[in-house]
Amino acid sequence: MIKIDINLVFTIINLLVLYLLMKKFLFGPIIKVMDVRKAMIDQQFAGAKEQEDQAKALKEQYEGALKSAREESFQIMEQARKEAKAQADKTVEDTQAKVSAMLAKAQEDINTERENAMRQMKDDVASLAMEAAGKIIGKNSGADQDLSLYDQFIEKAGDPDDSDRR
Amino acid sequence: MAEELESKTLFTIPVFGGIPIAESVAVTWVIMAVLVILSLILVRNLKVENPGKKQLLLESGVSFLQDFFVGILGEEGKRYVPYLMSTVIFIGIANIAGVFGFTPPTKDMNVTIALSLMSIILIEYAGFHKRGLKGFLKSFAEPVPIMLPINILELAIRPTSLCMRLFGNVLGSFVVMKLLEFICPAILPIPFSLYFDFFDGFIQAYVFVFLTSLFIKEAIE
Repeated sequence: MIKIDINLVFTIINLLVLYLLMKKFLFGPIIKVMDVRKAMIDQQFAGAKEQEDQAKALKEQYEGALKSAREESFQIMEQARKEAKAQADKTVEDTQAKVSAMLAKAQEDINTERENAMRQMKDDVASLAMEAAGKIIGKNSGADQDLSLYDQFIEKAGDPDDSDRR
Repeated sequence: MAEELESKTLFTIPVFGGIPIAESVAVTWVIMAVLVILSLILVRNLKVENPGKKQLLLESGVSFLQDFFVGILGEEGKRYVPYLMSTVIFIGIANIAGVFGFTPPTKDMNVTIALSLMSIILIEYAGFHKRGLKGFLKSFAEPVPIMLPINILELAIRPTSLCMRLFGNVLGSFVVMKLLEFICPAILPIPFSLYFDFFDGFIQAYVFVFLTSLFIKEAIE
């Protein structure tokens, strides 16, 4: 039943041969394929991660650019608004100043004109009155008399404005 | 009945006064041939992308064994994994060879002695490879020098226990199965064959390589 002989050596040789054959034909190829696949998957994962990082960096860059652009546009708009307001204010002020100057000038013109007219009228009226009085009295009774007559007339028919002139 | 237990000499090569070839060696050749042919067929058309069902099955089987041994041995024991894998496949198939009408080679003590000799050589080589000659010799005096004789005894005890465990189990189940077939050749042996051939056969293959890898781990630690 228990017989140890040369077959022990044969079995050892068999085992070694089987090991080499299995390693060459079974485990070798399969493990190689699995390793290749593992390497491929790792590579793909690394690539995906890299791309993700890149995309993230790009996104940040874009967001920064967008933000600065928004700020810039806001600033530009603000400045434009300020400028427009300043211009409008300036225009209104100018116009107002011009208008008030024109008004003042017109007023002055009117006043001058009226004064001139008044003076003219006064002269005319004085001479007219003197003439009329002379005609009525028939004779000239001296300059003093004339003047008093004139004053009397003015007092009765004159403008309230003119009262301060005397 | 008794002659069934003998390891028969199948034929004799008529050189050097006749070299006897045992049945176990011949059956081992058959197993080797089957394994090599199977692996040649299965390994064809391996693809990195889109592996077929056959390849997936093969890969999951191989990676199961690989993970098992790497789990015990760790990364630095990876070089011993292919031998352990081929050994577990060989012992597993040898133990169930009875189902296919062959005599299990592991019933012959020459085979189990050969297996355990290979194991102890591998174990000691692993220790030698890892520690160098000085460290290897020193490892016999660990953890304390008084363990020296026991450690030296282990050199003989480990392979003997490996060898005898496998041999005894296979011989025992072989005897039980023969008796059962003698009593009732039909139906009755099926459940017993499932236990003695498949369950016990695979358990013994597992135990053999498991212990071998544990010893290797111990040697390279």
